[in-house]
Amino acid sequence: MKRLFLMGCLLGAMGGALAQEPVSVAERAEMIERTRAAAAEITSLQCDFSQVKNLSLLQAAMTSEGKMYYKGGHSLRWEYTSPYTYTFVLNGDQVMMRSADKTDVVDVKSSRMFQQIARIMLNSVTGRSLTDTEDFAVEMYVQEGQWLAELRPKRKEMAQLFDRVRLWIDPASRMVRVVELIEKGGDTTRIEMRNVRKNVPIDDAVFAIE
Amino acid sequence: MTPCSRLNKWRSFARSVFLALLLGVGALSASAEGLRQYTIRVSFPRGSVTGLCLIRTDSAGGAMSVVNEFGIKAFDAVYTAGKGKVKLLNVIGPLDRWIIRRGIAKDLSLFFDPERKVPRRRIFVRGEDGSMRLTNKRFKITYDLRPIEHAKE
Repeated sequence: MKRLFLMGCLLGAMGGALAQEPVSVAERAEMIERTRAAAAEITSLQCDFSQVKNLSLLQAAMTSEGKMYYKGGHSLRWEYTSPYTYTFVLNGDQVMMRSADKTDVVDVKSSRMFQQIARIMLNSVTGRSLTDTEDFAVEMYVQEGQWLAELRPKRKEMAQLFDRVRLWIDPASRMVRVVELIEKGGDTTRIEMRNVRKNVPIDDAVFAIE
Repeated sequence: MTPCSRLNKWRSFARSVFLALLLGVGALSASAEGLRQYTIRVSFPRGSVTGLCLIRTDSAGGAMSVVNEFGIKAFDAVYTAGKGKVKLLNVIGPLDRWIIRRGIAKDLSLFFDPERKVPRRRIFVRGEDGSMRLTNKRFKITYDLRPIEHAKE
């Protein structure tokens, strides 16, 4: 009895989607299909983002800001502009990581983890990860008028990095607005995308590996 | 269930609650002091990795989190000032090897308390801008920490 009581307290203390029921199988399929269809229409994407990292041990939150560019299903530029400068560029099979004092270029094919990270990043910004059954188990919810997709990693390498990923999708545009990474220890990283511009021309130079 | 085993279960439960309270108190007292934020680069013979390092200290010790730029945790660490000891927690899988944990733990103690005596086989340099560089000569690892300007908390 005491175990059940304690379990109930713990479950009650956990927030968000756990307190809700996922949508029905039919609704889930429809939401995923509508998001997939919207993602298929995206040839390019650019936005500003803010990222808040909550660190439970330090009882602190670190906020950073930047810009994101996506093009053609194979090119991504993720650039932090404040309070530190760091640029991540994925272009085909190559990844460039540039910090204030050094640039590293890695062949994605040389690392299985890099391949998975690259695929997940590309798919998460567009919502394609909802149909990425190879990498994730997906549940759908409706929360405050937004669609909430909860993705649990299937692969061991990803499961080591985070417990689940949450995507908040605007039902009108069917585009991802917020990405939340939740670690096993409870720390979270929340990325909100603003000023989203879809299918505008983006110069290839933005994704140049230098 | 016998009375003896029931009593042992209650003792175990009480110990867990007490420990949780202690950890909570520890975290609360840590939040009373300032937070230092750095970019970090760790260089090995075969390459380097970059990320962010946040450190909070008080008179009893401190806590640290090291994450990559995307916020993925590499590890947490807690420092006990009296003993000068560092313990790693929540270590990401690829780093979770005892020899790595032990080697890193000793190196990290200087970032909590830059005034302490530098452990053997290490070179520690502090910059006027608050930067810190530690070289572990045995394992040929270098840690470069640079303060983040105008960091938001």
